[in-house]
Amino acid sequence: MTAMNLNLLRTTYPTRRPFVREITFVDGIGPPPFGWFDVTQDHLGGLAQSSLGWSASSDSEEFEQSYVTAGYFGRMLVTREVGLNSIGPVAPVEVGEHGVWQYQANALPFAYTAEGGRMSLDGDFLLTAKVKIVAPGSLDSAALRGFVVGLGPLVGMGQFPCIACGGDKANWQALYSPDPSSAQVVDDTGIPCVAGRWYRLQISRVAGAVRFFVNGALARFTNGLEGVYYPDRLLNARKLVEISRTNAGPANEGFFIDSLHLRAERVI
Amino acid sequence: MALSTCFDPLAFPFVRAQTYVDPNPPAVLADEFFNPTQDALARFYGAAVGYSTSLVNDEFVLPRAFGTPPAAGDQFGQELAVYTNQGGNFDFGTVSASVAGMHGVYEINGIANGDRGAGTGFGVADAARNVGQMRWLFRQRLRVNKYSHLATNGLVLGIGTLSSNNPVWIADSSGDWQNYTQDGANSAAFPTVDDQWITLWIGCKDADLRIRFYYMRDGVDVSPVLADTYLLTAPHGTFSSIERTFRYLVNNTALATDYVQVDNIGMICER
Repeated sequence: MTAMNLNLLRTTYPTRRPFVREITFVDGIGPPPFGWFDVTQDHLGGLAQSSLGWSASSDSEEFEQSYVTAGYFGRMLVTREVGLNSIGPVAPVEVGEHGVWQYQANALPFAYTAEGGRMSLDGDFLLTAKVKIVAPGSLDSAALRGFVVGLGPLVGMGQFPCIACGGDKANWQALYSPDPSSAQVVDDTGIPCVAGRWYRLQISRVAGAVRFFVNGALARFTNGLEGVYYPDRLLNARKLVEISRTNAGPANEGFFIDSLHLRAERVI
Repeated sequence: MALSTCFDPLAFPFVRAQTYVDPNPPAVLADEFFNPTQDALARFYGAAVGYSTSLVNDEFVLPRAFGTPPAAGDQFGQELAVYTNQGGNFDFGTVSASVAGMHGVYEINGIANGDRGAGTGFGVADAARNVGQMRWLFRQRLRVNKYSHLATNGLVLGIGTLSSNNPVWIADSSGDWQNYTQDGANSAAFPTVDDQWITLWIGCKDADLRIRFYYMRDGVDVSPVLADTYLLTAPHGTFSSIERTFRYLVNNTALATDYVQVDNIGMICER
């Protein structure tokens, strides 16, 4: 028996199978495993295929490296660097920190961008980051990308989906375009961004629906929608993290990052 | 979620839950197959995008030539870095796969005969994790050409240095492998054998302060063998800083050509 809902076969919705167990089976009670076999085979196949670059790509960064290579942040390429004090691995402080790197600025204005390899996002994808911001209140505005994790830089029309915070907003903000010919929209997720607290930020596209998650909670926009329908190709997308503060301020501000991953469906 | 899934090298999904045959198959059970399969998939998908699990494994397929002894801070493979190279007397590089089972191997040897300056020897580690009392599994595959040329506690591998007090495997010229935990060292009661490839695990599969040591020797063991289990006592058993770590130190009988070869070092941790 084939899965009745083909969306169940997809592998980029972070709070559904295969990322969590959705059904607990009990012998003699059920539920019957109809459909389980096909879905499970496809999910296992997806994992096996992406491990060899087939059907999906997996650009993983756990920040487990204990060395620093000039020009790189972990394995990500540094494309903007102003006002840097230091980068590199730091000792864990809280339970759950698994290889953490820090970006630390000096007291001058600062700006920093690190990027992964470029790709054409044509189908489903899931971006996941775990980050902690030292002082979000002193960063540039969210619209001006005080701090951003996302799929690309600000380029004009048809913005790459990102999650941002900044000195002008108390909450995490979703940055996106409603269609390829529209400029950036900034929408409030309603989820606070607190200094010194870890957040898991996720951007998911399933069958064209782009959704934003903060610590596993699906963000709803102020208009009540849970994301944006954007099935179009995102050409030249990439994992990206950036931070900026236009004004001078306290030294040692910046961010910590534990992981940054992008799983992307290959449609051809 | 079946919590030990993916942290026990003796259990599913590292080994089959059952062998199913037609036309007289065993029952397909929920706790044996349906639920653990979902849980294992969840672990690997979670690891692939950085949540529920962190999973790293360096196969040392990044080629590296001998000739420039590394300094502290230089990379060792794609994730670890050298934290000590006493006197610059150790070097490492890629070696050819001379026997079956070698899949990308780094060799660490010396630039001169003798103890190579003794001291701290050669050590590598990756960035640290704070796993508290959660589940984790460390794995390393290696061989040493001459155990009798190791210094006391000369080979240490696991989730920290010996001084960190974290669980590690130890080998030297004493003849047997040893387990070390925060509560002390014990003989693992199987011998070190020159040039024998061996895979060693250390794990905490049930988040219950029990640390397990496993091993599998090429050509001897067909599957991992549980060497010993230690129930750590408070305040031990909480791990606020663990790293994949490996240290190599020889005595003054060592030749420059003496080596340790490393095939891979991996670790999976529950988030």
